[in-house]
Amino acid sequence: MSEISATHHHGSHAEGHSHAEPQIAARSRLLPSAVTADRGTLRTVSMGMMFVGAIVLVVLVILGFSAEGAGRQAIAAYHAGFLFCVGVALGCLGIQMILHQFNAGWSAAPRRTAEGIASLLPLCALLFVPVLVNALIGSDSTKLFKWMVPSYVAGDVLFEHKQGWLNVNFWIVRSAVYFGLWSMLALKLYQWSRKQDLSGDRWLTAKARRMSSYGLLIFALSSAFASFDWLMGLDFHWFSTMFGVYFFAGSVLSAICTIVLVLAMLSNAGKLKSVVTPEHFHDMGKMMLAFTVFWAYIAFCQYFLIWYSNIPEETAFYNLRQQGDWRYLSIFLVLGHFVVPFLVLLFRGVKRTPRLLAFVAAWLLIMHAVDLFYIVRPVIKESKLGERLIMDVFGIAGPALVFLGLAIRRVVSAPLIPLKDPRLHEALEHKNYV
Amino acid sequence: MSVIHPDQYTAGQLAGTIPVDRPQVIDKRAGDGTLIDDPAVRAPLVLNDRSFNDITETVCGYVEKKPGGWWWPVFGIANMLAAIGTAMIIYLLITGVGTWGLNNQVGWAWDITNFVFWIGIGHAGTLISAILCLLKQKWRTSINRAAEAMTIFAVICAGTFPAIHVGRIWFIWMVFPIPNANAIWPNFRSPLLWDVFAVSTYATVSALFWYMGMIPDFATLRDRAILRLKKNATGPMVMPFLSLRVDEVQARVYGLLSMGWRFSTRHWQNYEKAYLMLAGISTPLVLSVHSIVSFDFATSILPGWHTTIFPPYFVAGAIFGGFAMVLLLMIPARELYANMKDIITLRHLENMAKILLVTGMMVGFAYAMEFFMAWYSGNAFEADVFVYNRLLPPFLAQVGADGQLKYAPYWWAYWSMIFCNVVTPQVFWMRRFRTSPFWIFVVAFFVTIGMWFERFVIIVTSLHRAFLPGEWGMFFPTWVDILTFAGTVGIFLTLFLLFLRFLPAFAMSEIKNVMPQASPHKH
Repeated sequence: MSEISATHHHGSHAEGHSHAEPQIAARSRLLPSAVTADRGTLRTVSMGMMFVGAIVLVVLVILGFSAEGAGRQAIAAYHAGFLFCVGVALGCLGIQMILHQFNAGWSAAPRRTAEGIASLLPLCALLFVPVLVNALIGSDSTKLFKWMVPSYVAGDVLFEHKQGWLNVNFWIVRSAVYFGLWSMLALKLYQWSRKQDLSGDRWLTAKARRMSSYGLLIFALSSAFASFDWLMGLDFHWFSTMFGVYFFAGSVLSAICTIVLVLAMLSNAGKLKSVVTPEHFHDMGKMMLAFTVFWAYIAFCQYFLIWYSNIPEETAFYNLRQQGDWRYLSIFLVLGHFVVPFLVLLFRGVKRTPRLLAFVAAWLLIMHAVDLFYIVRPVIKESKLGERLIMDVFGIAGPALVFLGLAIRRVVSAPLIPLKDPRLHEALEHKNYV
Repeated sequence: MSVIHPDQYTAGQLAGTIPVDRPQVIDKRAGDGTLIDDPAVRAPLVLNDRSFNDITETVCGYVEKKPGGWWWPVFGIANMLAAIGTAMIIYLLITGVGTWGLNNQVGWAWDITNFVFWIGIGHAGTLISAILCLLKQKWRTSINRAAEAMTIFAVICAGTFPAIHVGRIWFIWMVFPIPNANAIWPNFRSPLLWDVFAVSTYATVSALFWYMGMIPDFATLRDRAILRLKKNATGPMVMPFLSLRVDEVQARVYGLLSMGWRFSTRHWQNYEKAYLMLAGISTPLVLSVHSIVSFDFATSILPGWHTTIFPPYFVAGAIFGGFAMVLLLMIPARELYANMKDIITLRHLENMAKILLVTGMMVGFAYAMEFFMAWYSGNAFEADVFVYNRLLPPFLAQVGADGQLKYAPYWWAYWSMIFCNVVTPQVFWMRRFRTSPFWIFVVAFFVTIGMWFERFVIIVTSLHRAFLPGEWGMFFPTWVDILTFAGTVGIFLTLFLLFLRFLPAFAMSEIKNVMPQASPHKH
């Protein structure tokens, strides 16, 4: 294809010449020691996280069976943790497809992390198993989704109307379809990127870009309906057309935060020196800011329109979350998920200092977990906020630790950046101010 | 006689009156040479190996030279339409809103439809100038100025409708919270009032952004006029009997507008800083404006109006409609003005076609969500609005409980919307269509129609049959409705043509920034 560019430009020779040099200069920075991880230490870290996560989950199961009515709370907390993991992986899938669509040159450096984490989506299906087991063989009192309890929905007019959608078989089929579609997209993108490391075939990038186009369409629809099925369906009377966008906003934000966290950890370990630079952290920090605002925008609009119209069937969702101690969690979410990170992320210094940015990213990840907890947990009306708090914490921390451990393992098992991405030199030369 | 270049032919090419011979592109897939698919190659943003001077000459040429023969007839038609629109507004003010087709049931129809339509058009300009700036999308430089201008003119058209639809326009000052003797204040809890603030803020910031961007280009035009005066004291006169030269007028007017710009480094530094800040301010602003417009509807409890996805859905729709309008204006412009194809390449058009596809899918997503939730919610009123107010054509009519045929009288509006907004952009999945200016123009035309229908569908179909069947009624536009809307199209086109004629249509310094010569790696 370089012949084409040669035909339309008088000064094409000088062009081509000037193009090659930064590429060569850039590649000389890619020392093997900088772009591959020392598997030893980080693997130990990841194994440690997974081990702790597993223990936490075992304790959760024991606690769940220990008391009457604790089972449903345990599975609810776990469900929030599971959605946290899916959200991060799904967000990574979405963000890399968006970056492909934008032809974003700078993204070549941080993209591999997103590819690696998104490729864990098939494993997230395993994390779904406990929720599935709960739906299939859980007793009526422990079933997370109330609409799955026949005695509960008997005579419910709304449920009868929705039965075509809300039935366990269809629900399982849909969940399988979501995981199938996501896994297909994520694995293909990951495979192509890894293949390019070896072959250097730049057309694999074009292929990834092409798949990202319809991939984003699949992603948008499937993630929206997944959020309806797994989150909105917890209160099957309630509905909001915005809900899919709300889930998307939180997921992408948490994905960017995870990428920042992983990259900051790697650069702290002396990796990716002058490959992933403060310039990249700056841009990722801007994206964190943008998605913090976007999440707040979506959350506010959803809340505001429901509050203003004040239709009982819609306000039920917020009513529940404004009663008792849930009210304080609602306010905390406004401050912690929006006001504080927004103000902090406005500062350029924060975005350009990997450690500071990693701190904000960790904070936002916790906030995202709180957000999911805030959606899932209040439906367990038999247990107030703060009751058996340890189960709530363990329910989220368990899957999250296992997942993040897996994520680190996946990231360090491959080159830390797409080594032969055709736009890598752009990423390496990336400057915010020129 | 030209002063640009001693050779008449070259001078003509530089001034943009004679097209430049284009070198042959061997690979047809690359179009004019910019449609490169190779991820290792960045497509050139300016074609034909232009120099910095070429850009100055081309862009200033559009202002300094007489436009082509097409200009006067087109301007005349646009002007005539604008005059008709003005006459309609005067007629409305004299006679009252009864001249429109409004009735008890449908109290808002074409007026607010047109308002939302025009305000949406404006959003593309801010998206290109602010959001794409923050996203460092360099291709924006070739279209940002025209799109920003379009924003201002669209907001002017939009602002007309809420002002005239109040009926007694002499009370329009009451929308502003002005202290008054009667202690009458606007209702601060009403989204209609927030609209006043949102739209006026938007108009102010957009105008500032637009104007500030033009300051260096005004200075260029000023300096060139002064240079011409110095070199040649016998330039054309403004009018035969007036001892005032065109160059003199240009030097003075552009001089005033350029606010003492001297191209000093310090000026540029402040300029860049201000630009970035305005981009940062405009980005949330552009989202908030159409979100608040959507609140006008979504805060109510009317089925079809009240749904939580409205704010982002309206914003996406606004960008969708706005980009369609940019394409409708710029595709003919790049055919009519010489050398404009060097600046607005096929790649630019393809990118915009892709944005049309994406935003079209976003509104399609919102339609789907609304539809799904109308069913999923189990709300009979909501479902009825979608099925019996919008969807069902008469040939699929159902027999209702009372034995009457039930169908949606506005089905044609709904299906026009679906066809124009969701179906037609799908052709852009195919490269052949999204790289062909003709097809892009056709689709953009459909999208513009579709986005108008979208607002009509939302506003009128929801209103015309609300909760009580006793209140049901149809809306039909009167000739005043139709001609007022046509009039705003005329106002919009008139203003845009004047912009092309008298103001720098491209941001010269920004285009120069994205040329290969500007790169530090260029030898």
